[in-house]
Amino acid sequence: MNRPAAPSPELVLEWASTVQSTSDLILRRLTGDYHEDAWGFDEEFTETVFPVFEFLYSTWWRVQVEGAANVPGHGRVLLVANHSGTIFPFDGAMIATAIQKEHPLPRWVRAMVLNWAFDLPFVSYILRRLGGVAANPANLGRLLEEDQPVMVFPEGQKGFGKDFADRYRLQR
Amino acid sequence: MSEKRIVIAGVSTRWGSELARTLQRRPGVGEIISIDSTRPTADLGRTEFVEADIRNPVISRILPSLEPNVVVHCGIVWYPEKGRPSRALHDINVIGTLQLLAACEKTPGLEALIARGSAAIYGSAPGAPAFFTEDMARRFPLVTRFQRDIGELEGYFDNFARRRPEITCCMLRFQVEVGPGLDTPFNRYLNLPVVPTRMGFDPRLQLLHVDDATGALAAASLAPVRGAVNVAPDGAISLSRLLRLCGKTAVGVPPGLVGLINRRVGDFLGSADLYRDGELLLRYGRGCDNRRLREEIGYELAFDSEGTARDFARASHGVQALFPSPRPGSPVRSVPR
Repeated sequence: MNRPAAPSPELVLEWASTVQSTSDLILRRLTGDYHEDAWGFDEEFTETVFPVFEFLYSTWWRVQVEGAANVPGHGRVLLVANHSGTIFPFDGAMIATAIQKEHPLPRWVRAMVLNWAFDLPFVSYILRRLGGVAANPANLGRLLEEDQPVMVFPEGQKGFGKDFADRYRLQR
Repeated sequence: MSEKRIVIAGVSTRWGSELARTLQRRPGVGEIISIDSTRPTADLGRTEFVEADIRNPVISRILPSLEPNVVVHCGIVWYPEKGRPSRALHDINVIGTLQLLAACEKTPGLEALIARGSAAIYGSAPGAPAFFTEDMARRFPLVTRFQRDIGELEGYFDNFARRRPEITCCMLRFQVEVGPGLDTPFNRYLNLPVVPTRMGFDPRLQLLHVDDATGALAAASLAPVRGAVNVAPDGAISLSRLLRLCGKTAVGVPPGLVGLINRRVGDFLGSADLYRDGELLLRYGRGCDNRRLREEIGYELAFDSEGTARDFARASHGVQALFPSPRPGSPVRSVPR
């Protein structure tokens, strides 16, 4: 009868350091010792939940991206796309994930989010920590002045109820 | 250049007396005369005190006789308290300002008029700009009583500025102030042993340090610019992070209970109610742009929002030491901040 081999000392050390760094992270979060930028974007939080988006990106939807490197790696960028009738804006999250995974100089992309999302409990602050900003011209202008990459979905609310036949037609 | 004679209205508020004490140390400041209906408790040094109520039309005869070059209006009250309900605030804020403006109209030689207003005029809304600039004041409807009062008052102030272009009229819009030793409903709220927050909301706040608030008011009094100026710190901090820095326990209150809890908390805080502006602020938060303050008035802020929060946390830990925590030396507490 074979007994399972004892884990190697390197493996044990790796586990221990994982436990250590995770508990450090939790303690730091609990004592408020982390960074948020002026817009409320919390990079550490975003990095912590990023594996969820990575899973959706590579395993669930198996996203294919062409020409991600054409997006400038520095300075102001405005990415314009269309949700096409989705209530859950995962396409936006996938664009941000694509920039992270495929781009040679990855940056976190800010998203312009419909105003009422900031009136929903929990959604409001989770979106803000992930880089969501209320969609209005003042915010967009200021983000671009700060040389940030920004995502905009111009169809917005109007795209929610459209017919399947109109799926590639912008609602105005 | 002759020294300026400064009149401070509303000196028995903390902001008025702090301003008087700051200004009398500055060069180029002549006589400082303060006006209020009650005698200030703080020691004001060389500042003279005249007992007068700015709501009374008699102020139109008193103010010209003081021959001021600069008038600073610190008598705008932000929040209701016990014995001073929100209805009374209209009387103090709007009527008081109106009478003061009428008195300023009759004062020859007046160069500048500065008022200490509030950023509450921008309101707190889910789709608001993250940084309000001064021209966005009436973008959202004025929903609370205090907002309408401030809106009315700023309307009178703007009209006065248009009628008398030779007087530099500066309306300062202050963000929420926080600091050790400050006694406002928001500071009392942060000092609660367990802090109730609205479940599912984490407002983005800008915390103005009390020292910066006094410094900015003094800087604007000596070098005023025309129009409104936001007095807000750099950056922003979310309420949850602020409470964690202070080592406070936040309890999310579900929507149905918010009204009840806020009334109870308001009573406990000595404010007649957790006033509606505070309630909205603790739900949606508010951010203001401070470029005019930094570039045109030229005031350098000493603290950003996070710095203010950390300073407040250090001070409030001293208060907590009077009431030792049930588990002294627990690991979470001993983490270096």
